[in-house]
Amino acid sequence: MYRPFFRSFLVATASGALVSCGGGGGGSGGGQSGGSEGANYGCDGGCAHQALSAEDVSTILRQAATATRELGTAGTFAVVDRVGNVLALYQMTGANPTTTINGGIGAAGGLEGATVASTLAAISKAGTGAYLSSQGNAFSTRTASQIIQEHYLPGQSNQPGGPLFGVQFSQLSCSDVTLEGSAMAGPRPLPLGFAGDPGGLPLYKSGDLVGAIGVEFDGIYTIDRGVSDVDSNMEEKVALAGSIGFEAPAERVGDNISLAGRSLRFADLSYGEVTLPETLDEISDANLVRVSQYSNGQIRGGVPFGSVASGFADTSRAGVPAMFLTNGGAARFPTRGGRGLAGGAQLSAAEVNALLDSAILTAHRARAAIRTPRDTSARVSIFVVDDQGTPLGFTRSQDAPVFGADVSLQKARTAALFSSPDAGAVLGSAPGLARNYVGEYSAFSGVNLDGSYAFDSRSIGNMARPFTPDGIDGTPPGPFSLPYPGLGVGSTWSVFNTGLQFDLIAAAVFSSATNPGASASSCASIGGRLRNGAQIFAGGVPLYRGGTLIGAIGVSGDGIDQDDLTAFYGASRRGLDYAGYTGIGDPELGFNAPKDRRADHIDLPQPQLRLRYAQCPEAPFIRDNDQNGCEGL
Amino acid sequence: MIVQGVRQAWEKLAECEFRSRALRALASSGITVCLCASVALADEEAGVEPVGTPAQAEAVIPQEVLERSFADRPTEHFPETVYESIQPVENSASGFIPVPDRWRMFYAGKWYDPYNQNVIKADIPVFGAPGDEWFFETSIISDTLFEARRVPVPVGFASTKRPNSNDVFGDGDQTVFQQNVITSFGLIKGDTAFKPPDFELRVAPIFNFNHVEAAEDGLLKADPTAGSSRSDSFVGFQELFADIHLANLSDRYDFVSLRGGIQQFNADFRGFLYNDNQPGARFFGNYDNNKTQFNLAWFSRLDKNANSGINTLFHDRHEDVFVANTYRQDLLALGHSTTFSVVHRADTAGNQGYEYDTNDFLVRPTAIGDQRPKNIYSTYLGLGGDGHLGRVNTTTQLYYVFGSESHNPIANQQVDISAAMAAQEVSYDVDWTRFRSSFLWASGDSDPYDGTASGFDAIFDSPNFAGGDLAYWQREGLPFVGGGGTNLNNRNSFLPNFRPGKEMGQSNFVNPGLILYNLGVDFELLPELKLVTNASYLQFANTAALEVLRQDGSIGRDIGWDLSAGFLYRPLLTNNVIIRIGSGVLIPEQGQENLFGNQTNYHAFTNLILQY
Repeated sequence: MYRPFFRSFLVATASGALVSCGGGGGGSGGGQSGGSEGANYGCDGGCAHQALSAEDVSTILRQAATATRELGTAGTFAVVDRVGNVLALYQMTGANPTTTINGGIGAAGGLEGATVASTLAAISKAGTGAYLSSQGNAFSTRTASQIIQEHYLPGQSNQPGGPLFGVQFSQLSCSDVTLEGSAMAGPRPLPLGFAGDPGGLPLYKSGDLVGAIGVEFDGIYTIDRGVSDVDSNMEEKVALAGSIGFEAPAERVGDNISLAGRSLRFADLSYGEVTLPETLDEISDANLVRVSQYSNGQIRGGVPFGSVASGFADTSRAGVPAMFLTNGGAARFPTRGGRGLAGGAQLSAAEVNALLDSAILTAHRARAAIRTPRDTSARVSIFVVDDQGTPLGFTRSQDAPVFGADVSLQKARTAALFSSPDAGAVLGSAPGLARNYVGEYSAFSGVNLDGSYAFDSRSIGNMARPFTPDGIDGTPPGPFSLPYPGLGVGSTWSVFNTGLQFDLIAAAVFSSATNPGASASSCASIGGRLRNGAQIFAGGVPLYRGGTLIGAIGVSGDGIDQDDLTAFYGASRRGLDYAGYTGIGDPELGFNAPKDRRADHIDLPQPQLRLRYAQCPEAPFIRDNDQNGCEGL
Repeated sequence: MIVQGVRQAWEKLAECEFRSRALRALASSGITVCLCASVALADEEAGVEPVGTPAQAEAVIPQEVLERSFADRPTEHFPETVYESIQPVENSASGFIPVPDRWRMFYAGKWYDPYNQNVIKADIPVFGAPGDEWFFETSIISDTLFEARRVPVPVGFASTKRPNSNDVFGDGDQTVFQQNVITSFGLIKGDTAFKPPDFELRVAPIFNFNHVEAAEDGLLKADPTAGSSRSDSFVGFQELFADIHLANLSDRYDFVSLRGGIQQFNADFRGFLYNDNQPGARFFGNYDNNKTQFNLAWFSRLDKNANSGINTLFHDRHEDVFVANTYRQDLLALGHSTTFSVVHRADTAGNQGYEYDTNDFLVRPTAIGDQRPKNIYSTYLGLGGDGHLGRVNTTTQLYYVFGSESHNPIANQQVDISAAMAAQEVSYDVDWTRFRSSFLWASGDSDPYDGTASGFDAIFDSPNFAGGDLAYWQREGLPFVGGGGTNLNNRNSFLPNFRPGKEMGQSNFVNPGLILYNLGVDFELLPELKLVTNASYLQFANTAALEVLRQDGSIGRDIGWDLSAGFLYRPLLTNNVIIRIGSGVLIPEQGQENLFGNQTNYHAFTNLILQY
């Protein structure tokens, strides 16, 4: 305990002399991880889009293979472009052909313990790096691990779950957003959804996100359970080696981005710890792997993002640089009205258009939460659906991360379904549920899941956590979740077994994970209303007219509070008025739910517990001191 | 003013005679509001020798010796002491009634009467031979605080108190009740009041009860279902030490002493750096007629209880503080003391894993940035002054700190520390009015990622400066809403250092720093009543660290106006009853509006201190 003055002083000085300046390119960039030295191009969403060439992909594979061989092992690598096209899938001779899913907390059920092909794991890891990143932020599978666990930050007791809790079950091959097939239009599905296993890193050219690399060889597909340490993960090391020459700009890596005051973790190893020999190993075509729907066994170049070929075509909406999803030129989700409802309550095409305009304008005014430079606009994806979860229109900000396209639709559908009069009946009829979730909800809330209350995806998320209240260790699971391992028997919670969310899509996920190419027509066993699966974090808000549920708006991209703001404020009277749609929607509420029917008005039997409904961020708008942007909405 | 305890008498005598704040820092009891008291007792007692010899011990004391009757007031009783069997010798020549020993020069009160000779106030020895007396001293202080305040707070994250809580900021109104009872017991050996004790053993248990009412859930406990009020209590030791008088260096009792155990120590005049009660060993003393004083100290800090601020009994904070300082009187000018100090801190809590407070909030490492644990090795070089230059009163403190944080969570890397602070107060007395002007600068970090941490932070500051705890910014800790699980600044501190409570959180040298401009006037309205007023303008020195944590590129520097006023009322003209009433507001300017909105925050408190 007692450290003599002179000794500690010497130690301090000596350690000071060993300081390495990690990731410090361009006078910024913090710490352990980080991108290339000096490689900051100032891209904030406006830089021209580029693409990896086949030669680039080959170089990346050779770098990864060389680094792996130098570690004395063999590995499996996937390289994807920004929209998830697999540009190469390479398995070194002797590589572990499979990997076993393990959430690291002794959970049972779900994907826990499943053994899957290393190739599929590598694709999911690469896709995660590509889909979570943008010109404004570089995230990795390690970042994903940080934001999907039962605590944020992972390992910190009694803290609420990660902001993107549940996002791992998105981008599935059964989704109607992520496309299979031979064309290169994206976004493409990820066979295991998002990966939290270190070893997936985004790839950049001159500051533009052009794809990602995924590395798998250690036979375990897991997450990083604690962030207080500095891991030395060999898959991550190989991914770093593979990405040399295509490093993320130092100023864009997660370490320089604070989410709720916590910086996001890009990598625990730095480029300074990765060296490659002057001569790289050659790669063999024989090691390129063909996987149905993902890889044709060849190396190919990627498509530039924003081109029609990428599936994300540039446009503009409400004066904001925007994009639409396309598969050959036409919008895949054209703006239209909802299905007919009693009294003509349904959303009209004009109203959907107004909602999309208002929402994207709201995002444009909003301060991005997960991008640099700071004070740039939030970039999001926005879906509007009708009460049956049928897409009525889509738009997105340019350079919004790709993952939001699928997730925004999941959120919208989830909010619409759970707010429906027949929600309890529909969900209760789903096969293979590990728990009587609907009954648990009734016990939890004292009311039935029958449309009496409006649920946004935040309030549904409150009930889909392994602890209630969210994050408080040792407490019982939410009605839509499962007991934490050790606190219950049978199927227990992990990031690979999230409760109702997973149970609804279990069959489709197992099919995708074990038999790629034979994807289900719907992710959820209950059919099209959750066609691409449920989502259990904030950003989806139900829409009402005169007390009647008419649909939902889902937003995903740039911080969950920003997602809520975009949806909730965008659909509000204030948001619609700002966008110039003064005559559209309820004179007081816009399209938001009646206040007394929102989930935060449920008088729960448990004292002092209340569900949340739409949380807007602090200082929501750029260069505006107003802290309470959603007050009274 | 009647002396309460030999030791305190000596201290107060020294304080008042030498007008030396330095000596107060040296020998401070740390548990009272220390104000100068007029002390007459000690000199009168000096030189009076015990009368009688052991040979007379068998004799019986006549009743008339032990009491004295009066026509107009009750009979006075002489105290009974270990010498009670000693016969007085009548001095018929003088006509004075003789007393058996010098402890009986004053008349004894009841056991609860601190104003007359009292055996539990160390006025009378409890045992020991003449010249080798032992005294017992006890005191009790009750400190009652009621405070109402408004601070920026978030609504609950997992659950809120009210529906329609769709924005981050909630209702920040809170009330606080704190009751401290400090008991202090001292066993003192020595020839009492006119020289330092030879030996002192002191035990000061403190009992705390606290209750907080907030208006949002999730603020007081990590579990939001714990509600918006919290009651707690805690017991600890404020002092627990033995003090050995090693030697006298001169006829005027220049001395060296060694004090080991939990003891109060303030590393400078105004508590800017380290002002705490912690276990340690301190070698201290003075020479040259007390014109020079010195301390060599090592403290191994205990962790504190978050709700009471009191030391835990055995929970190690894993932080060592080493102090070498000296005070020199009349340096620069007559009546101006100057201090030089070197303070080193080795905080190795980073080796201990996560530490949560009693409310289940993470306190180490701080829940900001990458949240990796860290050790801190920092060395402070200090230069301070206190006194007067002619009629101008002045206090000055300068610190430069260097060293390293093994991993700063905002910088995401190891950082070298290089930071500084400067504080200056100048005042001028006109009759019963004191005009004050203060300035404080704590350096801010301009680039969190450059590997150098240049935001000043202290070890455990508790400053008395620019309004002290009357001022909102210094008294209240503001939660850093939206920027992590921590505070922007903390209670009884100026420094915006992102510590999650000064009590348990670690220093952090990547911070925005502070610039404070202050004007104040103190009015001695009555001998019993003082009014203190302050107006301060506050700025961040640099907002870079704020912008990183809030992920916001446009946070202004100006915090705002901090206006406060307070009364200090001592109805008995003593410190036995002290009533403090204070209030302040923090009117936001651009920087605070960017962070917390344009709401004016306030506090108002009343504080009753009763001392026996």
